[in-house]
Amino acid sequence: MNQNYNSMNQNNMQAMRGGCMRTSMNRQEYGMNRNMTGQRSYDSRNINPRQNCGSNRSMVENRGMTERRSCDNNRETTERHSCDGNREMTERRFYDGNPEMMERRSCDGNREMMKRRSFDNACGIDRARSVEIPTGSRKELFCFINEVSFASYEALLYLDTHPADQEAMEFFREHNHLRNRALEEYARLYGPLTISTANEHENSCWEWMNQPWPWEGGDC
Amino acid sequence: MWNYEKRLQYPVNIKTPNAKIAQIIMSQYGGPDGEMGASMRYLSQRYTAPNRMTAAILTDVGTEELAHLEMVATIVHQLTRDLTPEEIEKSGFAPYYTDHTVGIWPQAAGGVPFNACEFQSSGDPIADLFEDLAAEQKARKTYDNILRLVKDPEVADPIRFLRAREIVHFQRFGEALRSVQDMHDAKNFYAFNSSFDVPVKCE
Repeated sequence: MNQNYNSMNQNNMQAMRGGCMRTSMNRQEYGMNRNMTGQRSYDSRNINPRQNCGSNRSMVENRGMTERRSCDNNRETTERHSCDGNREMTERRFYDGNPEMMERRSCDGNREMMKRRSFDNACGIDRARSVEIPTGSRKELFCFINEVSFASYEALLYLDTHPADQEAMEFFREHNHLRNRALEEYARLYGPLTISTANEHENSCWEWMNQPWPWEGGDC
Repeated sequence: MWNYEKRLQYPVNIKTPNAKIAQIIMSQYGGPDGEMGASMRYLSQRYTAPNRMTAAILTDVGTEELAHLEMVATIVHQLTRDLTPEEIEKSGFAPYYTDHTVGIWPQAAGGVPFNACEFQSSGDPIADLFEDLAAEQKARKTYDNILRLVKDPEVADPIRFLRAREIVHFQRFGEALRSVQDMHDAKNFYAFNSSFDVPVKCE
């Protein structure tokens, strides 16, 4: 079962050394945006008024169809038929080309068809459950916590600006799950790293202040 | 509000003191493009963020910058451990040492103390986000300058990590800026200040 940990560990260690997760998350480089006419613009100069970086192209017809194309080609099409009230078809394409199509028919009451194609069908937490937390030595576990926490935090920042990215959500869930487990293990074996894992009612003395402080060095 | 963890975001283990490099790296603690300025800037700007995405990214990046502040202080602390008075004089560290011994105090490499003029929180989301983009580039530039001068790999390693993080933050702020621009009139982004002129509903 250490297979998963080793390959993930390699990725995370490399990623941490490099300072950023080398996944599809950081593929798009801001500042190199092409607008529809293939020009690169950093500012809001309106070369083509409706097709510029950061400006939405909207076309509203009587049927209420809005089409937005932003410069990272994230196309969102919403079609509403307001004349018959209830039919709403939404198609969203996220920047990894993953189509998510949901069709709801509320006029006939109960039928709801949702078709989602997610990038990886395995649940992140299921993957995380099969990973063994390395408890061989304090240093090894501490390093594991650093790596897995870095992965979580990087995913957190990415999700702040890409809240609908399912792949990133799974990534976050997986690594956050591992992080929480690892923090509990560390607290159990070596003492707490966070106040939420501090179990002081088992001690006669305030142990929180006795843990090594991070600037002392000697870790990883 | 803030909790903390008893670990650095990236490990710092420096075995060889070097007071000369410590003065240079001090600039990333309290200098004009340093982590203290960065964290104060983002954590101050977030109150007038016009949408949830911007508020989230300012808070999360601001928190990470506090962690970087801790890392830079650790680097300076480990570089100034066990110094002899001769080493202090020879390295040019004596002026700082006179006032602070080997304590950590936020100032620029040139001696300018950290102050709130090193950042702005303008209350205009477009101005704020452009400043944030520039700040990340300035921080990246400072790390580049430091890396040209640092020879010790134990010092260069965490510095390189910090530099890469600045580039990632730049990406995130760019995305937040785009989200703010999307909120504004496509024909004129500057027609109104979405943090002030209209009551903005947080999405």
